[in-house]
Amino acid sequence: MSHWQVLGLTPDADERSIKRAYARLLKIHRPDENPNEFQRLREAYEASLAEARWRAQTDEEVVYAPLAASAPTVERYRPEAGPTLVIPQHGEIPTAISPPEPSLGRMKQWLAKGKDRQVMDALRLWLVSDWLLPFERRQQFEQNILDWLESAEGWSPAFFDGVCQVLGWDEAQGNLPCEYWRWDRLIRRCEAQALAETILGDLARFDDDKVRGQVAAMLFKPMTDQRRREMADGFSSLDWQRFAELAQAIKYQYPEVPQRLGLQPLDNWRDWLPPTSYRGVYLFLWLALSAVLVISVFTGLMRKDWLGTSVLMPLMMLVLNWIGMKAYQVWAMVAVAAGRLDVLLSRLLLPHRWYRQGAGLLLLRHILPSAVPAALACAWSSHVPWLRWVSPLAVFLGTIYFTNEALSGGKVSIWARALRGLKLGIGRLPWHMLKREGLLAVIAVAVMAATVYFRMKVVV
Amino acid sequence: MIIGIDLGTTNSLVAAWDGEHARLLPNALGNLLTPSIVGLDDHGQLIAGDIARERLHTHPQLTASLFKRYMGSARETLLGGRVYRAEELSAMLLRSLKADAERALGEPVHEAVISVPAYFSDAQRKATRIAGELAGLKIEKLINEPTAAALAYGLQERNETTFLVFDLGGGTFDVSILELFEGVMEVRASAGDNFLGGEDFDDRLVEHFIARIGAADLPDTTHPATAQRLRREAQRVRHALGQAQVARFILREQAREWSLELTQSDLADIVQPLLDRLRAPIERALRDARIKVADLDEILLVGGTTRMPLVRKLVATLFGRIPAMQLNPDEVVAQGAAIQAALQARHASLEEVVLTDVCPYTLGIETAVQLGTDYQSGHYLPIIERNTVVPVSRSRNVSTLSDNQKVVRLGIYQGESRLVANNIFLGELEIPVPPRKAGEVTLDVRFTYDNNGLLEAQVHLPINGETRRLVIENNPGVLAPEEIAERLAALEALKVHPRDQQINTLLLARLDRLYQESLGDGRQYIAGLANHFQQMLDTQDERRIREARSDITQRLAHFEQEG
Repeated sequence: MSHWQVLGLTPDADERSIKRAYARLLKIHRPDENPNEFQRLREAYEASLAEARWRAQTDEEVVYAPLAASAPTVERYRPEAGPTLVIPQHGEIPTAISPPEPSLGRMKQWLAKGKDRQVMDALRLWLVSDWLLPFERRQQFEQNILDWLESAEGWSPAFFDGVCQVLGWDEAQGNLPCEYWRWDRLIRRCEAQALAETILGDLARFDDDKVRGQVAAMLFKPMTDQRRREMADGFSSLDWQRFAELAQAIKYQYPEVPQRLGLQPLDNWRDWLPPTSYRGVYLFLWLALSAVLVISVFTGLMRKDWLGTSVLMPLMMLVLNWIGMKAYQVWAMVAVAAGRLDVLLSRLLLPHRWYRQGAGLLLLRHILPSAVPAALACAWSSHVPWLRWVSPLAVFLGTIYFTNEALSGGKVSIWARALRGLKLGIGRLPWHMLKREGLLAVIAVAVMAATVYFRMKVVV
Repeated sequence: MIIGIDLGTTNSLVAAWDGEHARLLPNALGNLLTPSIVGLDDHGQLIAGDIARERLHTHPQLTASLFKRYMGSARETLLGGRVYRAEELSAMLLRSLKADAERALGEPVHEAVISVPAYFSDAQRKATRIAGELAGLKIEKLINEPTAAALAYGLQERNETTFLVFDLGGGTFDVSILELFEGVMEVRASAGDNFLGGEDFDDRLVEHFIARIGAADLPDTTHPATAQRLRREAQRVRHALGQAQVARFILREQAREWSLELTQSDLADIVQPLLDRLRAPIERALRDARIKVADLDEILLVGGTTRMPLVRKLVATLFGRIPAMQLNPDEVVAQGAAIQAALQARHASLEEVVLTDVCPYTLGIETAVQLGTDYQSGHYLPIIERNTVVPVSRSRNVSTLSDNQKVVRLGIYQGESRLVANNIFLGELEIPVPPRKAGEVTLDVRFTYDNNGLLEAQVHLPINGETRRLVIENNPGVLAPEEIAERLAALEALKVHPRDQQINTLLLARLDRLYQESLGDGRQYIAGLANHFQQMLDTQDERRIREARSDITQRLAHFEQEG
C-alpha cells in the first residue's frame, strides 16, 4: 500500500487535498486512541506532502528561476529590500534605518584575506546594532556569514569558535544555522585544520630539538632508513599509540590534510607498528622442534617408550623454548644497539619484500637468530639421512615466515584468522551447561565407569 | 468532571468546561490566580496560595516557593522540620487547587489535565505525574503549555492559520509554532528554555540592587526572610515600571531603609542578557518548522511575564509586527487545559478538534563509531529526532562490537549534541546477548514516545526473539513506586488548614508581614489594626468580623500605597 493509497488519493494530488484527506482520516485514527494507525497515517501524510511540495517547487524553478539557487549576494541587504516594520502604537520599536558599518562587502573581503580579528570586531558591531533585531534580517545575515565561511580558505578553528559564540550557534543546544550536513562539513573542516596545526607544530618542534614531536616526524619527515629505525626503536608504547592514532586519522578521516600541508605520509606505517604478539613464532617453534625431536627419537637407537617420548619431549621443548626466548631478548638488545649497521646490511642483502624500508625483517635482529633453532634441528636429526637436510631448512624458513607475519602489523594472517575462529567456536560452546550440577554428575559417573571398565579388562 | 490545571512557577489556575466555555474556577479567597507557594501554619496544617505568600517573609522556614524549577531533580526543601521533594510540594498545591475546584463546582473531582512547559524533560514530566498522583488526582493527560494556549486561541479561530505561541511564564520559556487546518491543530515545532522567566528577571533586579547599594552596607541578603523581601520588592518594581517611568526599590529592615531609584531604561539594561536568550529558541523553532517569519499569521503572547512592555517591544521588533493581545496571557493556558479535558471526555458541546503535538528534543542512544580499525565510543545515535509528531515509534538497528560479547549496555540520552557527554542521561538498559562473532548479533532498539511525552524504550533481539523494555533505574530525578506510596501516606496525614477561615488567616498573615516590614509609626498603626482584628475574631460574631475585615483591608491598601 503506497502512501497515496493510505490517504485515498492519486499521486497528483496537491497540498490542499492532501491536508484535507489527512484531516478527515485523523478524526478516525486519533493519535491518543490508535497510535499505530495514526503513525501510519502520519508517515503517509508527510511523504505525500513532501512529494507534492517538491513537485510544486521543481515546476516553479523550471519555469521561473533555473539559476536562483546559487550565489547569495550582499545586494539583498539594501535597506529598501529589508522587511518593512509595522510600528506599533507606542512608536517605541527601535528601527535602525541603515545597516551598521563596516559594510558586508568589506567584511567578506577581510574574511577572504584571513583578517580574523577585523571580521570578529565587525561581527560584534553588527550584532549590537538594532538593524539585526528582526528575524528575517538576522537569518539572512547568518546565511551570508555561513556562505563566506564555506567559500573562504584561511580561517582557523579558533576563529570559527568565536563566530559560533558571537552568533549563538551551538550544537549541544541544537542551534544550528543550517542543515546538519552543512554544519558537519564546517566542523570537519575545523577538525582537519586543528589536526594540520598540531602536525605543523610538532614538526617545527622536532626541527628545534629532535626530541619533541617525534611521532609526527616519524610519519611525515623524509629520512634515511637507519635514522627511522633508530627512532622507532626509541619509541615507547605510548608513542606508538599516538603514532597509530595519528596515522589512522590521516588515512581514514582527513586524507586531504597531508596534501594541503605538502607532506607525504609514510605509506607503510602499519609495518612500523610494533608486533602485537609473537604467538605464531612461539607456537611454530614449539611444534616443529617437538616434531623433529620425537621423530629423531623414534628413528634413532634409543629405547622406544611411546608414551614417555611423545609426552615428555614436547614438555621439554616448552622449557627449551622459554630459555631460547630469554636468550633472544638478550640478543635483541645487542641487535638494537647495532641498529644502523643492521639496517645497512639488511638493505644490501635481503629481498625488498622482507626488508620493507627497515620496517620488516632485519639481518642481525631476525634472520641470524633464526639459524639457532635450525642448527638445533640439524643436530637432533643428524642420524636420519632424509631429515638431516629437510628439518633445518623447514625450521629456518618457518621461523622467518612467522616472524615476518608478526612484523607486518595490521594485516590479519590466515593463521590469526583461524585462531580467532577457533576461539569463537570455543566461546560459543554451551559452557553454561557445565554450571548445571546434574551434567557434572553425569560426566563424573561416565569417567568412573570408563576407568573401571578398562581396569577390569587389564585384569582379565 | 475532568478539570484543567495550569501549574505554574509563580501562579497556578484551575479551569473547567461548563458546556460552552472554559471557565476559570476561583479559590477560597475568590481569586482566580493562586500563587504557587505552599507552607505549614503555626499548627502544622497545610496552607497554600496567598496566605503562604504572605508568610513567605515572616516564616521562611515554613513556606516553599518556586518548586516547579526543581521538578525532576532530587533536590529537597526543608519545611517545618521535614524535607520535601518538589513533587510533594506540587502535590500540596494541587491538593489545595483540587479542593478549590470541588468547592466551586460543587462535585468531587478525581481527574485532571495538567499543563507542563513544552520543553520539560522526561524526568520533569514524570515528576508532574507523580505530583498529581500524590494529590489524589488521576492525570488524564499532560498538555504542553503553549499547545494549551493555542487550543484556547484556536477555538475562536475558524480559518486556516499558522501562528506562533510565545510563552514566557514565571520560570520557563516556550515557543511553539502551530498550524490550524480542517479541524486539525498541529504543532509544527517547539523549543524553549526551562530556566528563563519572570523570576529570573526579579533575580537580576535584586542582584543589581545589591551591587549598587553595596553588599557590605546591606544586612545579610542570603538570609531567607531578607531574600524573600528583596524578591517581592523586585517583582513590585518590575510591575510598576511597566507603567511608570521611575520606581523606587526599597528595602526596610532592622529599622533602616535602603532605596534605589530605577528608570525604565535601567530595567531594560539590567534584563538585556535575559532578553537576548529569548532569540535562540524562536530561531530554532522557526528553522525546525521550516517556516518563514512572513508566513506566520499571528504571534500569540502567553504567560504573565509577557505583560512587560519590554518583552512586548522585543517581540514586536523580532517579528516586525504587533503580537496578538486579545487573550489574557495569565489565564489562557488553564483555559486550554480545560478544553483539552473536555476533548478528553468527548464533550458533546465541543466541535471536534484533533490535536497533534511534537517531541521537543531528540532522543537517542550511545554508540561507537568506527574510525579505521578502532572504535570510538560516546557518539550519539538519534532515534527520535526533535519535533517529530507524537505519538511516534521509531527503531534503529545496532550490533555488537566484539567477539562473544555477552552483554550490551544501552545508554539512553536526550539532547542535540553528537557526543553523548553533552546530552542528558535518561537511563540505561543492559541486555544479555548470545555469544557470537562481532556484529553478528543485531539489536532492534525501538523508542516509543507517547502522547503525554513519556518515553518507552524497547529492545528486540531477532536472534533469539527476546524483547526487553526499559525501566529507568538510578535516575535521581524520578521517585520509585514504593517511595511514592510512602510519601503519599505522609502527605495524607498532613491536615489542611480549614477553608472557611482562610480569608481571616490571610489578613492576619498580611498584617504580620506589614508589621515586620514597616518602621516607627507605621508599625504602631499596623499593630493597632492587628489587635483590633484579633479582638473581632475572638468575638466570633460573623457580621462584626466581616465589617472589620473590609475596613482593615481598605486601610491596608491605602497604607501600602503610601509606602
